[in-house]
Amino acid sequence: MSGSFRLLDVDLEVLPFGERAILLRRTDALADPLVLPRLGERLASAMPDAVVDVVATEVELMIAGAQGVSLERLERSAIAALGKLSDHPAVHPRRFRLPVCFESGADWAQVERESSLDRFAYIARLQQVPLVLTMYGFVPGFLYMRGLPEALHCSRKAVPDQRAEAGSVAVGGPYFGIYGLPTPAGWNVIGHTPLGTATPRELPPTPFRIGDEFRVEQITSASLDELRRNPPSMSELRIDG
Amino acid sequence: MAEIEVIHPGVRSLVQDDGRPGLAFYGIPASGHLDPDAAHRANRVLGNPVSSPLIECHLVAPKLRFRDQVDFAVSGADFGWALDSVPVERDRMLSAASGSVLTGAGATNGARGYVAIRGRLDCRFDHASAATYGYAGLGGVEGRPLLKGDILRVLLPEAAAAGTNPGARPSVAAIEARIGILPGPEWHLLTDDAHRELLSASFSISMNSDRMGARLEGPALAIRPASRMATVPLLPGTVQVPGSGAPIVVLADGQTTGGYPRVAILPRGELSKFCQLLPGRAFGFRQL
Repeated sequence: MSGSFRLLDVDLEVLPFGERAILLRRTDALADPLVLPRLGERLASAMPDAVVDVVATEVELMIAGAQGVSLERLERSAIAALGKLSDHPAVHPRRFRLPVCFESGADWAQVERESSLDRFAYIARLQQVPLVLTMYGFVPGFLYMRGLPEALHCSRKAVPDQRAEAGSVAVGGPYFGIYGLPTPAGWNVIGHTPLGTATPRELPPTPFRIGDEFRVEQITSASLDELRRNPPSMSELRIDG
Repeated sequence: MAEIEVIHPGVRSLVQDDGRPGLAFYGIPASGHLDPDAAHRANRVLGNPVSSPLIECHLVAPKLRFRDQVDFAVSGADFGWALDSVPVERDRMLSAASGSVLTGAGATNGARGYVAIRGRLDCRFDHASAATYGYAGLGGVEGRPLLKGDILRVLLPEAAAAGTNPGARPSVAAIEARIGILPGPEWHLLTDDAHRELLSASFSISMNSDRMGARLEGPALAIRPASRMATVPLLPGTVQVPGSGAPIVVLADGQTTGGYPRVAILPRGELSKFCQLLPGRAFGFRQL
């Protein structure tokens, strides 16, 4: 493994991950947290020789090799492909309203305890900040969003729950997230959105893109029911025209 | 076209193939067989392409009626398979007359087995694979495990049967009780005592497990606090340890990212062996 190198103004180190994958891990502060997700997106759409899978998070880019490919060959192939990617100009982000009903979040007690805020104060602060879709992952249609002030961060559960229903919104570590499908959940569920974020039979399996911005808008449970029956269109949710 | 009726689906029987690698960036796991060697063996003896969709059975065998004559094979764990109450061997091409019924019982020396039909199973392909990924409703039969009353259809080949040697089946003794692991990126978050415990203690797979992840029962491992760790990539075979200390092994339908420490990883061959461990069966880990 070659150790460390610099790519597009980002410091990275290379580590093995099992016998068939490598991790490119950021060692600098996340001045632009979307660098690895954007690189991962481009790599995933045109995978270089010997690479069979790519997963990108803010801090690590995982590159998995075909059976029989050595980690050294995988590293050379990945770095060569990444080196050819020129700096990607920032795409003008789309902005959306994110309607959320906070009335039946199962994990408010934990969130209130960790933040030392009651839920009304927490919700008020949450609505003040823009949230940015930073990563795909976990399951199709799950959206990781950054932008939570540190005061609103909340630890992941020590024992993940068996099931969060589709449309659950939750806080885990520094992220705000939407569960697009019903799946096990290690995050703290604080409410529900009528937005459908998962279209797993399509590619990408969600209508939302990395870099999209969201503004949380509190709604009542009556509105939640109504919007579930009559889901808003993407254009109805846009707040930037 | 031949038809197969699902009289009883067993515990969880579902269509699988070699899966859909290459989409993990979007959160879509590769899915696919939990014991690829066994699945390929069943297809090979029938002369099918090794990646042909077939039925993966978990823990308890399904009961299937072959409405039309077909050739078929069973492989993997010993489910005590019988055709019209006559025991049949694994890893051989077998002939089923119209109306015959395939039965089995609980798996005894493994957890997963395969039923392959000579020809091509008619099932749903999503992202170029028939592998069932239940959480997102992809693949197989309407994206879900088999249900009582399902009718599976198989396009029969025109040419006569030309199966090949299946290759050696691992002996029962090879379903090892010690599973090899490599240290993971967060290996250092386990205390020294927890390292020793991970490599010496006895664990078992909880019944509270599925194709997404195997939750382990055994001693709680002491792990340094990482409850606000950044989200990181995962691969099938990753051993995560949340704050509770109870390890979870990511499997073929597993999530592609997570925020629990990745203390170890099972290489591919070890993961297949692990997936053949029956829930409740004691096993240990060894460092590779």
